[in-house]
Amino acid sequence: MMTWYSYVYMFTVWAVITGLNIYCFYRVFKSKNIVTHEEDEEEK
Amino acid sequence: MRRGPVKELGWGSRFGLIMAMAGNAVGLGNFLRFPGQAAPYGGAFMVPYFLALLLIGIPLAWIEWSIGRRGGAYKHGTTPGMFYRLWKHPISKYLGIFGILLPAMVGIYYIYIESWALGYAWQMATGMLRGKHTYEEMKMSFGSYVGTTNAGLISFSSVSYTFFLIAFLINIFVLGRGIAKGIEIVAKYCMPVLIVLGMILAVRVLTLPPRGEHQTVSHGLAQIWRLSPQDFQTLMRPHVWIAATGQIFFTLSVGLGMVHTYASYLKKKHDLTLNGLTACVTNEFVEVVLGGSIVIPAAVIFFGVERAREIVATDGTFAIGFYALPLIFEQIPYGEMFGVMWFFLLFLAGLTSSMAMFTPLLVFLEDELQIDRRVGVLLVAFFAFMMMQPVILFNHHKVLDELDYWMGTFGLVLFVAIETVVFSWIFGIDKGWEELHLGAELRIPRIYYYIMKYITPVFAVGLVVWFCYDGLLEKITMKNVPEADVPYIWLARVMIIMTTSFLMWGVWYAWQTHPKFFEDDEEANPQNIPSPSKEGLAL
Repeated sequence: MMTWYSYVYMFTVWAVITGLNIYCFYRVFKSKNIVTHEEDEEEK
Repeated sequence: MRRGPVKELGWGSRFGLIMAMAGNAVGLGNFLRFPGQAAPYGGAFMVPYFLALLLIGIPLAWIEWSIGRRGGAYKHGTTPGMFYRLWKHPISKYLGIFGILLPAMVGIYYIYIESWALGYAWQMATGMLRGKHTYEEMKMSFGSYVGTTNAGLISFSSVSYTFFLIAFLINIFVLGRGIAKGIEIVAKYCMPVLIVLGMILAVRVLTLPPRGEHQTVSHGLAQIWRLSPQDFQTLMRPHVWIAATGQIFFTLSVGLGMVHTYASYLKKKHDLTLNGLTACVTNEFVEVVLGGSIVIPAAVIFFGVERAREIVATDGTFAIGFYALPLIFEQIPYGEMFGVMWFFLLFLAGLTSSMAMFTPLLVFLEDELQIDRRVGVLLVAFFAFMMMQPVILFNHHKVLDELDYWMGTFGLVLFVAIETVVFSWIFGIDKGWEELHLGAELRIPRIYYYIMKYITPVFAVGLVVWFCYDGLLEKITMKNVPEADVPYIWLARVMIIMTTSFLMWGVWYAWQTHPKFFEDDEEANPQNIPSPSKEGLAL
């Protein structure tokens, strides 16, 4: 059975992973560095 | 080198690239393998698991992204050419064969397993699994589905073969559509759907009412998250570390050559560090948060702790996914709907991985052997279809297991060791570090320089040594293999040898016929060589 510190452990891990996801996707969507072939057309 | 004239090659969007890379990593193992690996050790498993992720998994992903993008700058989409660009030695291109061989050979049984999920989604939707009330009945039903129950010379079932054909054709269709129009579109839509389905199922399981004093959600979660001193004592044993590291390899799909090929469509100015990390943490969300909250808790609630452990120990978590969960879904409101969602989720997880598996072989045929893409797709389809037949028809003689050991387990570990040594020691971590940070949007902490220089390659080589020590000889000599299975084990090995021989010939032929392409060095051949993404690869 889960003890209170097992719950703390589980939710901490979940929070870290979810937080990292939010941070990474925030950085990705905020960035202007895209990865398309269209950008090459634009550069021309 | 000849590439198609169509410009729609390469990634159509950054989100698509990340979803494809994450989808490549997210597979059946996230939902079926991970819980089974973690449960015997409880919360203690997470210690080596996360250490392996930080010290081996994420650095390896960055290494593979770097090797891939660098190879792509020279118009190499597969590891023979990529390795040769890192290490100008005659053997390096042959070592790179692993990056085509492993994904292709894993793909030939992975698509078959993936088709089971599709077939079971259909069976759940049409109520074909109704009326089975015990685990044993469900197990028998699965045996009938795949044709292993009462199998004679061959294990054949028309239903499972039909779904195999559907799954196979879907994979070939996506492959034929190319990167932007095929793989990326599927990943962009399927990955969010997969995550939503996983969240719905996790919430459903975690809100199931208790069925007994020891059959609660709390008892289920405790199998993966309990913190007991006895479990932490197991950290002294190497097996838990090997299991955790192996799981990280499998879950991130490193050591298979697919990441290299996907990354070869990037340019020098494109970020690797943030994209690579994002793909890794997306996979971890699916595995740890969602994957850890479905199979084991559901099994404990319905069967109790002891029975669930017994099932995991004897049949593995695969059994819980395919035998136990349908049974469980039969007993809850709207269970068939959740059952369809579960198996469709597994199918999507499988598809997003399998569609990457034949990409390196196709790109090799096109890039290095100058075969027209349409012809290449047909050749890959023919090769895959023919190779899949022994896996399906002789499934009861362990052909699949033999391929999985050599290609999906030992081969993967060996390739990881090779690529880390080539990148970090032979090519040199200084140049590698510089390569990794070209266009980087995320500065990697300097400690990773030393991790990638020392810890990752030493650990990877150590793992190969461990595998050699731990049962490799028994595996080679077929110790404990039933007499009836021996010819089929040999058949699997012949399949591996034939494919390896063809790839070796292909590499030799490519270097013989257009050596200049491989010998142009960086100075003579500046890095603004049109990348694959510019020149087109899609049909």
